[in-house]
Amino acid sequence: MGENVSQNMSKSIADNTQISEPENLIPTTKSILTQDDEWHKVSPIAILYFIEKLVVGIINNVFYMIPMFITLWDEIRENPWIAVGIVGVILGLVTFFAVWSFLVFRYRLSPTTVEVKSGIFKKKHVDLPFNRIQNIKIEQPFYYRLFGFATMAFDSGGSLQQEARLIGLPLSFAQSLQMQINDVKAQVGVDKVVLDKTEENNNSHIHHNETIVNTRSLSDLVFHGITSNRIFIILAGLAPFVDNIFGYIGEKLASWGVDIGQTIESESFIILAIYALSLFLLCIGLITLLSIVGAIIMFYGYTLSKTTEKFIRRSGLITKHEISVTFSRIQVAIMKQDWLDIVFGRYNLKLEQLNGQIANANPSAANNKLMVPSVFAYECRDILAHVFPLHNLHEIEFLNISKRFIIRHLIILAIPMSVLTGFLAWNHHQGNTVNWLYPIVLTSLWSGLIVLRWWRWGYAVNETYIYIRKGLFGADRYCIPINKVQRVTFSQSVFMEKAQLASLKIQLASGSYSIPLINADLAQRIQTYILYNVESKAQAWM
Amino acid sequence: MTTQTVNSDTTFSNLHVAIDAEKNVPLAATPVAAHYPITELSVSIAFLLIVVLVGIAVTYQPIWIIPETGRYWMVRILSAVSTLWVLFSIYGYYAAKKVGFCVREQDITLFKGLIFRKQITQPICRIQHIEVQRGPVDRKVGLANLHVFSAGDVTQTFVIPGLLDGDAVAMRANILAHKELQHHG
Repeated sequence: MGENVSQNMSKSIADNTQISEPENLIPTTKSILTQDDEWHKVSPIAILYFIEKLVVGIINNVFYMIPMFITLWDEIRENPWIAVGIVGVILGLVTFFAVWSFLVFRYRLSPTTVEVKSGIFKKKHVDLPFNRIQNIKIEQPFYYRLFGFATMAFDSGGSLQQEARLIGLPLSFAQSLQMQINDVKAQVGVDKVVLDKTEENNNSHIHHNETIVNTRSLSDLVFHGITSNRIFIILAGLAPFVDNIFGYIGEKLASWGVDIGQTIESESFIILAIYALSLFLLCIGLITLLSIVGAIIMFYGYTLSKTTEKFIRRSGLITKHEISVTFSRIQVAIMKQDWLDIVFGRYNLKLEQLNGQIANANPSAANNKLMVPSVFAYECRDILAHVFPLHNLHEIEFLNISKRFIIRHLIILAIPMSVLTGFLAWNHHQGNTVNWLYPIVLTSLWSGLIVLRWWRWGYAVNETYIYIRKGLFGADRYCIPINKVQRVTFSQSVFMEKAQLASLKIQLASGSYSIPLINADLAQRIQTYILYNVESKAQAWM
Repeated sequence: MTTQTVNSDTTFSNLHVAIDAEKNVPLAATPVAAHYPITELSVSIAFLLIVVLVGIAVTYQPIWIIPETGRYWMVRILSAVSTLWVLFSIYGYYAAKKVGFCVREQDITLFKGLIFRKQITQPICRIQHIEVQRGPVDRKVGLANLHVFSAGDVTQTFVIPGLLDGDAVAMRANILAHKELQHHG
């Protein structure tokens, strides 16, 4: 890592930073944050990081490649070398781009900023002053742990598209850098009151004043795996190939001496149904198992701890992740409940920060959200109380939105749909008797879903929070602190005006949340109340 | 701890008390520039004319002859699209007449929509930055758009269209001055 690559960077910029922030700000004598104009390379171990990132990228897109493999399947079976070739080319490209990414990756430290240059095609130059850094995250993937290296991620918060990441630094260097940056932040932060400053200082000795808020046992993770499995998505994805799959299974069964055609003729319907059911259950079981394994890999050894000002989440079986989220940056709390969660009485608690630009700029954006998997309501209450002390999310009574929601969506969705399916049914059976079964079944199913959606949608407001519940099979409860609202939209169509209804959309830094079709007068009062609160107090939202 | 301190009322009887009615002037829309709707309509129709002309030219050009069925469908698709476009433009014209704004001490509100009406309010203390933008046509007719950005808006930006050039600049300056007050005052 000591290898220096001199690059012609304008000295004037570096000098300017020095002038604006005098050097006596640096507290420690053995500072690594001295002024130098050299751009540094990181350790070649960073190549592994780039490889991992590329491979993960490919695997994430594997869903889109399934059709390709299916179409190529016959060819591959005839000539396995094609598959080897494809995999070889992919691996070669991955290595090539990883090495290239490593070669162009440079960083530079000054007493007040960290600068990172990266990117092959899209060059990126991030210049991040320390006082704008909100979070410093040290990650150690397993291949780094072996050699004592680490990755540092700097999170600037705000709407700036600035995310810096130093990959492949020695762990000790990363840790001392983290501490020194915290010290610089504490001293530079002139805007902050004295109390904040002391907290900031404590921050650098983070491990001393941490208390553990929540841990997740293995059985909790099993629950999480079961409830959060993506089985329906997978089933939906398989739908187009159902014929092929059944054909394939038929062949396989035949090769094992089971002739489906004959069985269907000889066995009774009930036996067949049992076969089908057990096959279906087997599939579900396998997928659930995968999902559980995924949950364990992701959340093994989960601890959520807190300091005076932030939550720190640590988990991971193979790669240890550490995510810290400052309380003040949490915009919204969500208690998510899928239908299986409802059965088990569990929730996934999510604490959301900023959305949008950050999510785009930072590939690890999913980590930006703090999630506590499969907790009970009382645990949600306790965890959330640290951030939103007055909240009542776990037991609030929700008010229903107007039933007009059902009518509106029936008009928008169900009518065109029934017309379409009706037409299809008629078209299919031209000349014969029309089969009205499909349109009727589909339309009533759809209407049922709309009613369910309406039934789930609820809202409640008190002085400090807006609560929203929504969902379809599951139900997610949102807790929105009024003083963090960014913008309010009051909408009312001509038809809604006649019925004295209106919709509200509340925008926060984490996204927007809507309460459709409530009493217009009430909506207006809520709007006025939100605006009054935000404007009169002008509290920081971050 | 939480269960006791939380106020779980879901009625709003206290809201009126909390709001200082004297200081909270109701929202009232000021219309944007009078020639904004007709400008919008003209731009829209001009664009349509160009598309139709190009479409006709492509259909009947003599270099690469398009078969009769191709022409048949091209003409029909073009006329269907044009009809829809004209209808939407007319709707847009009347909708543009409804665009208005309201600047109060503490917030700025955009009114829009003919059938589906919206009123979007942006507290000034939450504004991150603010821009005046002018397209080529806007510059010709002396109009400007005021873009207001707050945290977390990716999909939806707050734009007041069709402001008189001077008004937009003045509003921007006004709001910026206010923001300074918020931070240092």
